[in-house]
Amino acid sequence: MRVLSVDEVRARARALAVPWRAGDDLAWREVVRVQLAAEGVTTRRALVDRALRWADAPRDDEDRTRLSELIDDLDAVGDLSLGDEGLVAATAPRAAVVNGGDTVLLLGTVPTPHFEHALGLRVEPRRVRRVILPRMDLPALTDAMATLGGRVVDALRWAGLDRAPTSPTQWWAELNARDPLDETAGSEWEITEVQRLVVGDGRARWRDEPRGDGLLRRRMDGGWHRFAVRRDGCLWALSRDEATRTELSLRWEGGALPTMAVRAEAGGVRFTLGARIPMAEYRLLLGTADRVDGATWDVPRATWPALASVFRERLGCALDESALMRGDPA
Amino acid sequence: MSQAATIVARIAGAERALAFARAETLARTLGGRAHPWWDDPRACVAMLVRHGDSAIVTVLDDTPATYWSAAVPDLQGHPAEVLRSLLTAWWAELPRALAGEVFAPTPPPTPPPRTIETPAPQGNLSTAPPPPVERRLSPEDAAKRLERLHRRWFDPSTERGGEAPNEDTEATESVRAWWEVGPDADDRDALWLVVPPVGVVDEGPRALRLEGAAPPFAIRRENLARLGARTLASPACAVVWRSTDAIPDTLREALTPAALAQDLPTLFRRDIDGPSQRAVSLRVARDARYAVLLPPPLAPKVPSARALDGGWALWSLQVPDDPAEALLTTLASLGITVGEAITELAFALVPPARWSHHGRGVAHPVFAHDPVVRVRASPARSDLTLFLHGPDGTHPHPLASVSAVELSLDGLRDGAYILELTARDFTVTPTRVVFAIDRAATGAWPRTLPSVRLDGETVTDAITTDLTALGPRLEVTAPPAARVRLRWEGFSRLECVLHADADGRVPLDTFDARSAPLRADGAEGRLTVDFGEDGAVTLGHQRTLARVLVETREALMALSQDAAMLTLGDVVVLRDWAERAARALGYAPQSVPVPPLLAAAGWLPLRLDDLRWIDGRRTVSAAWVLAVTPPHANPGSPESAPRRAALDALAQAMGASGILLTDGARWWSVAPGRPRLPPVDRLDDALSDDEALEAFLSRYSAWR
Repeated sequence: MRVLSVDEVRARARALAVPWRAGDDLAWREVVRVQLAAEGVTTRRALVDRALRWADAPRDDEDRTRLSELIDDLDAVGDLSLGDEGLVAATAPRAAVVNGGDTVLLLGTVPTPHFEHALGLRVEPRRVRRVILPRMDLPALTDAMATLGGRVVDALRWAGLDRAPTSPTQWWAELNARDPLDETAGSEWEITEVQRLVVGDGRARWRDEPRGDGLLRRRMDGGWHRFAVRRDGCLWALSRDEATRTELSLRWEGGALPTMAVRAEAGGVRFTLGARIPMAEYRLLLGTADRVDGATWDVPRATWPALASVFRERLGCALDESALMRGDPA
Repeated sequence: MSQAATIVARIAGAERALAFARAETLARTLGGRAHPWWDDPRACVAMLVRHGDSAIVTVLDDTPATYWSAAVPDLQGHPAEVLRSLLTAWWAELPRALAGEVFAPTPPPTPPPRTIETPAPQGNLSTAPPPPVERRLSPEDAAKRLERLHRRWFDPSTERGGEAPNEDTEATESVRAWWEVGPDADDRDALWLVVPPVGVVDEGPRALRLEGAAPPFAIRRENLARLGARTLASPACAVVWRSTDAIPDTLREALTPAALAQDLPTLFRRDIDGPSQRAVSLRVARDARYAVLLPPPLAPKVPSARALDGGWALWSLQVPDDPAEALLTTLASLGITVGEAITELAFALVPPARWSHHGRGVAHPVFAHDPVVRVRASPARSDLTLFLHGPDGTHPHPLASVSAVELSLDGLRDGAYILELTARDFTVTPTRVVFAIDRAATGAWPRTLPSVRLDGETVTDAITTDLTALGPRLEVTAPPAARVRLRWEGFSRLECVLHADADGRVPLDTFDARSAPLRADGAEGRLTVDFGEDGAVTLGHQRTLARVLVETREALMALSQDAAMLTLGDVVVLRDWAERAARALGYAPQSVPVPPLLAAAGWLPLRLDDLRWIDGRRTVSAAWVLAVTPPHANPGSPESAPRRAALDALAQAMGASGILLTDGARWWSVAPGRPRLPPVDRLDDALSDDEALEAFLSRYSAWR
């Protein structure tokens, strides 16, 4: 047993490729993955607690909410799974070849050092995704993933765009084919803690009005929400991802479309998402675009038209491409 | 002159110093002296303060701030005997822990070689307490305690990974229910009543019900004996167990936790490793989290607390290192004090490869790399020692002056360890961490793929079978929390998105119940289990004539009997009969606009839809027009020709291949445009034997 100097602590952190003091989102993502990889299955609240404690961070509500949002984001990427009643589970290591074979996305709850050790390559954590460059040939990649108990997955299948509704109208039709909540389960959504998304006057706002049709949300301890939608008197429980799609569908119906600012960037197109987007479209974005900051993404110019049509037709987004047409630089 | 004696006998180890401090304060108030008995690591404080001929007996048990006090007006005999008899009545467990050690008039047996430098008091109540001396902790003392803790934690011989049986200090411990705070189904803090397994119970009630529990809670004797119980409880309701059989007193006592204080808060210390456990005292540590249960008189003092039943409230309390004045004021108004010195021992930097869970719900980290611990003391101290107990025994590691430091536990071999941070006196609460080293440990991410099993066989390729009865035949497993989309496509469609539970099982009950009537409808269908990126498994559904012969016969027999009711000419009866007939024959009946010509004659046409999978696509098309006529109608007569022409037009308009004509007893299968009726089939004849029925169904039904 020996005391470590600050330099030794930093050196060991570097060797393990883990943040020795969690700070930015990149580090927090790794902290969550590391803790969940060890735990396997836990609850969102326990995971947040364990991550904060391990990172020796303050445990106030703001940090909890931030970590909870990151957990949602990791679920959207496929680095973990969110189940019923706050359950969070690790996902198996997977690799998806995207972007015409130029990029390999690494997915799963496996900590980055484990990936690097198994692949013998440096893994680049790029904000929300982890990639390896240059890409390995497929047999070698398959073998390397197998050493971790993982596999190579079909990128399109991972994104799930083939299974996602192709328009807001189709989403409502899919919802109608589902089981609505019965009266007992539905009574949970009559209480005052429930907020309803009110769409009107060209915008959408959350109001403390649980009654009436629309998207409903209820804040739970630990900084996360449960969602449901009431439509023509029927009530359906929704996952976080389905709630996102429902919100966009309601905004599309109510004429409060999220606007996406698009402009030319050197060699490509830079755009800013005006709203959170559903998992399938988000994964498509991860495979084709680079996140610059927050909701801003860069995409090659050749890829932009296909991406734009997805946003327009599937999600009903309004694209402000005037700057792109003029060729204005960022 | 008053005289006080204190016996420490049952406070959990970590809280002894705290309990002793309380005892000292109380004793001083009463003009006596507190006197510790340190040998028993699970101790309580019992105190007898003598005032002339009377005495006050106070027991500070491990219930926070529960002072069981009583005045003893007539004190006769040895004080120890008085105390023991009182405690016998009060607390069945205490005398066993105390017997022969503290209250015996004779000195207690010579303890094993003492590892504490100052001998513990002998418990003679009549002697004056010894002068206070500094208590020093020797390595042997720590080693003995850590060895015992290690055995309790890691001993694999116990079923639940808990305490070893026949362990000296644990053997006398009786099981008793307790309170704890944990998340409910909505992930909100809630009060739970926990009953540990009560052991083998051969007699007693077959089942027990907790009165007033919401949701209702009942448990069978066998489960209570083997598994114990954990249920949501309301602090406003007394814990009352009911049964149709008599409940033995010992069992009732074991099922009833110590009462909650009605005028003081109850603290539950939060721990990320499990539910919040009830704290011993009303002193909170800095930089710690608690759930505070507030009784009705105190609940209004904390507006932010979540209201519970009966005016109770639950307050989620985070005590920062430096609490604000407002928080201190609130805590003081509740009778809660804030602790002073703190030490912290926690893992840092090196993440565990996995967590190992015990059956009791607690967990410890398993490291594949050398772990690093962070030691903190506030204020800085120079008398802290780390004791590491593991496969190689116990080793002390005195620390130099410490405020915050990271230590690497290098070169440990595989095995289970306990690390304890303590001061050489008892001025800080010992802190310990439990961990294991396993150099080959890997993460706990799922390594199995989702699977669908039907009748015990794993389904790998698309298969077609009869899925009418599903229930336990179908098992779907997926990695924990994975999303699974189940889709039924028959005449009707049903879709359900489910999540695998923590064990990887996908709960199918609701989907099975909802889809059962849809699966019984029609000859074909398809069940798709979609695992997202992990692919999908499709189960084809087909009900062949051979499979449905028996039930179809029953349905047709019922129709034959009810055909007499068609003479009433009631449209509702007619429609009901026609729809039942359509379903019995494997079609989906659809209403069509009834031409006035047919309506006037009392003829009811329906469109019969048939479902087929063509090139993998679900195709629903009109197969027939079913026309039900009144029994007295003669469809072959010239008068009926215009009506049949109307039926022909209907069939052609909807693309049906023909018309099924019936008056309930007689049946005709008519191609459109044919003026003459084909030979009649009689339902009664068809029901006479299997061969005739199969011939009838091959002509009229969707069954192949």
